[in-house]
Amino acid sequence: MSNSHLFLPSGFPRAPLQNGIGRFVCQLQRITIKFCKSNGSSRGVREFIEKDLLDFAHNYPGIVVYVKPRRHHSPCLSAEYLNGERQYVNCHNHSRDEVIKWVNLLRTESGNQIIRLRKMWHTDCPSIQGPWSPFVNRDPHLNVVEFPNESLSRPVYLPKTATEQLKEIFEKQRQTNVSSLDEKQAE
Amino acid sequence: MILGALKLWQRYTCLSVAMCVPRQNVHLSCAKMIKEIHESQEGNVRIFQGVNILSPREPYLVKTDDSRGCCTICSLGLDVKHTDVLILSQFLRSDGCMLPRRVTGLCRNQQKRMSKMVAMAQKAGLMPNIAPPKSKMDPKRRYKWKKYNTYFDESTIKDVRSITSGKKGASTQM
Amino acid sequence: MTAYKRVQQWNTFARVWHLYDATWQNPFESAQRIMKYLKGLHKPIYHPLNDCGDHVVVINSGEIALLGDEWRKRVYFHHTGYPGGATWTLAWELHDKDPTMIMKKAVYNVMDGNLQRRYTMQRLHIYPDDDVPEKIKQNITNQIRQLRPVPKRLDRYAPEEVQRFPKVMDWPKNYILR
Repeated sequence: MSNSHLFLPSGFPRAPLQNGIGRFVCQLQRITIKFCKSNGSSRGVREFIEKDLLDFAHNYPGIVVYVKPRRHHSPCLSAEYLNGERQYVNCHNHSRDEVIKWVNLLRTESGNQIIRLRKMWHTDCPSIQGPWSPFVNRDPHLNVVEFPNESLSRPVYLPKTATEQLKEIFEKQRQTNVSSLDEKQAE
Repeated sequence: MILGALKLWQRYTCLSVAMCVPRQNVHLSCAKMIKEIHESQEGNVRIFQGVNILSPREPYLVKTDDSRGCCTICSLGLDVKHTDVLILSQFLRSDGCMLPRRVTGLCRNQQKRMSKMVAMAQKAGLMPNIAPPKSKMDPKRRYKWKKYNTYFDESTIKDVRSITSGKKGASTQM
Repeated sequence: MTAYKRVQQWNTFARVWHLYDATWQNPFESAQRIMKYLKGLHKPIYHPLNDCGDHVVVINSGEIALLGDEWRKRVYFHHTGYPGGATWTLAWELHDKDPTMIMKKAVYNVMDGNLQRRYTMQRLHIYPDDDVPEKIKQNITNQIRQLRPVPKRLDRYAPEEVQRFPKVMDWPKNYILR
């Protein structure tokens, strides 16, 4: 198990510009694809540009796509977001599929810095009832009780003792005796 | 002459009861007399007769008709704890001694359990009024650690059957 | 923070005073339960970093009950720090000296040994009998339930009740009872 998450800045889950409530604003504004026209490490990126890039640009007109060839360098993707952040992905020796995945990831990210989440959930309305206090759901009867109170101190669940069981058995026998006597008298 | 003999006999049967009574304020095992002398006059004849007295426990006896012939505690299926002093005190003499098995009518196992639990209850000071005459009635006035409250775990009482079967090395018979 | 929020905060973190009657209770089992109230573990707002523990007033600590022969088998060790300064005190001897000590040590020992322990212990008030100072008594608003039922002594039952209690055994006809 790693401890690297300890050094991450921490925070709470938050969507920028209230994205996802009614409308969605793509946070990715600009993506620059840098690659080499001849180098083998750029092969996947070149394939991506040949086969998928036009579709991508067509589907997401809000994103500006730059293609920047440069000789004998590793290919990379550089994404710029609405909040001014920049993401940089090294695509050295990536296949076409991998490049597609990275581009999709960059497109859907918010661009915010990666943080350690202190809570895994977020709610705009933390509590309808209001915050808890020791006095909520308290039996009002307790307000007038004199302490120490014997009935409040007794355990709630107690199995029946043999004394109580014997009393019950005896009472039952007495009842049946009485009823049988009544029947005899009736006859 | 006959009258004198009757008196003597009555005194004897009552004496055995009276021995235990004087010190006690609260009767638990009620003084039990076997017979009582009734005197009646019919014309010239005075009749003395010894009449059997009903036991004071008679009306409060729980009926157990168990076809297997179990003892009372077994057939009622009672899980008696050492705190059930109302049940335990029934098996005792007035000085706190356990009655023998032929009197209590318990099975071997229950007789042992009951006598152990009686000892527990007495150590815990739950039956201070059924005790030998010289004992301290108030548990708080006992010696050293004995004056403090103690409770016991009934599961520490060993089963008679398991001990005997273990000794003989016989397989468990149910 | 608005005035309303501030009051809400006071309300949420209000300390409650609980009462615990230790009559015939095992102090070591009770300590587990008392510790939860002292630390505030019973609250939904509990967090180790927030100070939400409650006060517990234990009464009748002189009436605690130990299991079996523990009164003379349990030993409390103390060392003064000087050579030959070790002492071993039996539970009943300690209870003779101070009837609150066993309860106090039981609660102290179930808590983790961190810096908070001493401060948590300050919220525990133990009294050997049910004579509690009026100042503390008026704070109490809740009672913690006991773990074991308090057994009733045979001489505390009314004689009629004993006599009318259903009998499981009768003496033989000719048996002379002593």
